[in-house]
Amino acid sequence: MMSGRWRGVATLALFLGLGLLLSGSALAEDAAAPANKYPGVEGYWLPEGASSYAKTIDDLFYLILYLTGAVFIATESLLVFFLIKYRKQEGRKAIYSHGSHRLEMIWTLTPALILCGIAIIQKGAWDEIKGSVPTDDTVQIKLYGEQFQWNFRYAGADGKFNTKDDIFEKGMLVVPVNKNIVIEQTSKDVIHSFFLPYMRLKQDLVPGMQIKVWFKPIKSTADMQSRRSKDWDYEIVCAELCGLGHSEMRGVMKVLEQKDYDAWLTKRSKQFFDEEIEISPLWEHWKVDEAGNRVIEEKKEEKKDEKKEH
Amino acid sequence: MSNAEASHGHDHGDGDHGHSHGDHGHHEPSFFFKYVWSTDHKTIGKQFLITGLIWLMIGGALALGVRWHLAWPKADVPFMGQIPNEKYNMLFTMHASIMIFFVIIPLLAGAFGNFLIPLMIGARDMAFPWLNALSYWLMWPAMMIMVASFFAPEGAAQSGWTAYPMLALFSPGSAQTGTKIWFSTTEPNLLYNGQTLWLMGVMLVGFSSVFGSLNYVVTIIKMRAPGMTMFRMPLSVWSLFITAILALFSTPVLTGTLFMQFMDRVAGTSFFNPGGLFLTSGAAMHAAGGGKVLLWQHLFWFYSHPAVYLMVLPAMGMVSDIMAVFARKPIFGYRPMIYSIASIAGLGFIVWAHHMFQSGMNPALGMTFMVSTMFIALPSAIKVFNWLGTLWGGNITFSTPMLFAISFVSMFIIGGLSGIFMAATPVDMFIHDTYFIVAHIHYVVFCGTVMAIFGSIFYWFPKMYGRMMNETLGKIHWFLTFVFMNGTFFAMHMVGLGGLPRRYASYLKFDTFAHLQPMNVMITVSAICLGFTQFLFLANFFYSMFWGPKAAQNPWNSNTLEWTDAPSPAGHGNWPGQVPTVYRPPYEYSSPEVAEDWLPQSKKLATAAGE
Repeated sequence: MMSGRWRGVATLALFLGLGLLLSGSALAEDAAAPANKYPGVEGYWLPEGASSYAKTIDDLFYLILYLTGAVFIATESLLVFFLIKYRKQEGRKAIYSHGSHRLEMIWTLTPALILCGIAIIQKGAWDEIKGSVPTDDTVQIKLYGEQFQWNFRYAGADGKFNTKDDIFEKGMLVVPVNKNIVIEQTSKDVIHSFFLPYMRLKQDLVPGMQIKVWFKPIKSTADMQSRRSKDWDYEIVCAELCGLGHSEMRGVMKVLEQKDYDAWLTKRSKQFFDEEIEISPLWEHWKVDEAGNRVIEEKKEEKKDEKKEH
Repeated sequence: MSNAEASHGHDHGDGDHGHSHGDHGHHEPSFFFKYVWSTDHKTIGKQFLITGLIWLMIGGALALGVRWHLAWPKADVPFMGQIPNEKYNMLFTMHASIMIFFVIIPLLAGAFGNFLIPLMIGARDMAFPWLNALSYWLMWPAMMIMVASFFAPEGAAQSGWTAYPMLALFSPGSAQTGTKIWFSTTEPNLLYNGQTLWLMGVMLVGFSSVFGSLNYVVTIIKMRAPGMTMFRMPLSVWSLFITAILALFSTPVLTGTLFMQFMDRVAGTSFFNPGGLFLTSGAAMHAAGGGKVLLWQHLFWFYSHPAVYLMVLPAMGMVSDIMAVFARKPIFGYRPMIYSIASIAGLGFIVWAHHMFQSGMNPALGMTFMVSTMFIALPSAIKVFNWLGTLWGGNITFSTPMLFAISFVSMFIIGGLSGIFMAATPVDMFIHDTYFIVAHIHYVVFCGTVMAIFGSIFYWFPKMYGRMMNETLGKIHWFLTFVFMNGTFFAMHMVGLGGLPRRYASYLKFDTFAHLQPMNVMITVSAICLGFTQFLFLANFFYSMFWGPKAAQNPWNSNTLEWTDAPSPAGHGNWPGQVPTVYRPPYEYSSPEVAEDWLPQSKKLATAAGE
């Protein structure tokens, strides 16, 4: 019968496939330069990583891709192989088997260990990205989301919030490269979600909550533009359905070299200090103290005071 | 634990059964009691089936509206014209709501649960036939409410099927934005508006689901035929049993949660409103505050995560049965299969916040859900391996039901593996709310469950209607569906990895996504082809119902009771003579005890008394 030979061929194919996958990953690692490890062609794949933790996230993604890819190839090949080999033939009965305890143990424990491993591997990354916010070398910014706009407040040239030189930008986030950008965000109406694809950052803006997120851009806008066009900008994408303007809630992020950032900061601060630009009354609803912490207003009606105890 | 007393009691005609028909099979019930208010589980099952298939078409049409608009945002959509963004939001909201609550759950639990359970365990009907009829007819007010919502002032629900506050609370016709009129056909009002009607409709579906599930659990525990122990039940019945328990525990939470949102919208309570919010439009805020936006998400997902297992477990059970029959082999690992179903159901209760990793909940909490979510992949993997084991060494016939069952397994592998990416929280930070998620959803629900439903309809059609569906047309439908569904949904993984967000009307405003548009167009073209292919199935289904070739009692040479002991179609009381007695488990195919490659559960052998 052909069965022995076919079995050998199939096994060989499976191992070859697995081998190709694993070696392919090794090749990719060697070939790419560290600064641009996963070169982002604007193609049907992950966009170019531009933050300090983008690589960690992408590495985890690729690990899972290789593992699941190997499982996919193995199981689907086996499926097709069985369909061909065990198709109906006259005068033949199927193998009368109810199962195998040994196989059940193997294919329970092996995936369990792999899944455990993936869980353990990523804990550090999650703690680092969402579980904590850096305290050194930071730039603090406030984000107040609304239907359908991103509103940013900067401390201004004096570095203190709630002073005359605070900068208020509609839809534009300006940050220096290679610094930890810490953004405290909330929403004034519905849930939005602050998504920076190239930074890999996503965090929902929840009405009633102040949430801090952080990222460290490692590629300036100019750097990215050099590979694209001079009109290109990092875009801020809203990633939680927020109403009829959800698909139009575009913001822009400018990642500037430190000296350009300082220049922008000084100039813009002065404009607000000199009252050349009107501040939106929107910001009345999100007061901050000098340190930048939110000031919860004491309401005039007593009833509301009691409710705030929750 | 068989229950001879229960089946004897039924033979004598217990109260429910006797009263609702007026007589116990001695004269024909009137048209109304036979086809409309029927308490016969088979008729109720068929009612759920037809209604479910109709809503499948409606939900599919809405999806095509979504896809058309995404591919060609400026063009007119056929039959709908230009679609402003608020109408677009209605399209995907209602598409999802209809598919989940009016198609998948009613087809799996309502149609197959009702039709199969008594037949496969050797009962004459369900434990509570009247409650059963009620569970079907409760769907009708729910359906009419959903249809009505499209005509309400400001239109149908438009806050996503997940109905997150505060968007769902600010949707037109809410006390939260100062609406005071109770009812109007022209202005935003508290009762007749899309979101509030949505809440009411889904609450009714919840009741229907709970009534049905109660019936299934009691029937399976109490009304099995003599010799039908729990571990001799086919996997279809096991999966429906565990699914029913799942529904019983989780649905009441949904009902309560929906009611809380209903109160917020209609009575101005603040379950979910933290207070201090305001809309740019200037609509006044009328909330005492003190609520939490995230509370909705926790409560909603506490139900909706088990709900997704509700939407796949019965499919898995039925696929197992079909595969055993057409591979002519016992199921590989029958008990591990059952334990896996139970594990999926149990673990399904402790993974809900994986929908909320980026929601603002405590990241440490997210870590615990990440672990449980990783582990829920395990029983699904075990099931896939056992299906492969069932195929190994088989004598496989590639009938239409078998093609659908095999494609369920192969597609479920993809859907399940993509879940692992989402379980990894740092990766989820990027792919959450992108098309990667949409791809995963549709792989498990369409490429998985819907394929299983098609296969199961083909397989049990002779028992339902006494005729065979057309094999050739069936195979063409299968092949085209397989090709187009992969074309539609696989590409969504890729655009999702590009960062393409969900629930967007168009991507015209963003340079970041401009290069993904050609693939969006391709997905739409594939989806349109997929939609039209389904007419082949409908044609086959309805034509064969009246003019298909008459079926033998057991055209598949299957071992299970519905095939071996009931005629095709099964008649009133299911078993023409006595209730059958069961001697062995359901998958004794290719047994060495007999010459044929099948050995019915109810066949008494001369020598041994079965296992």
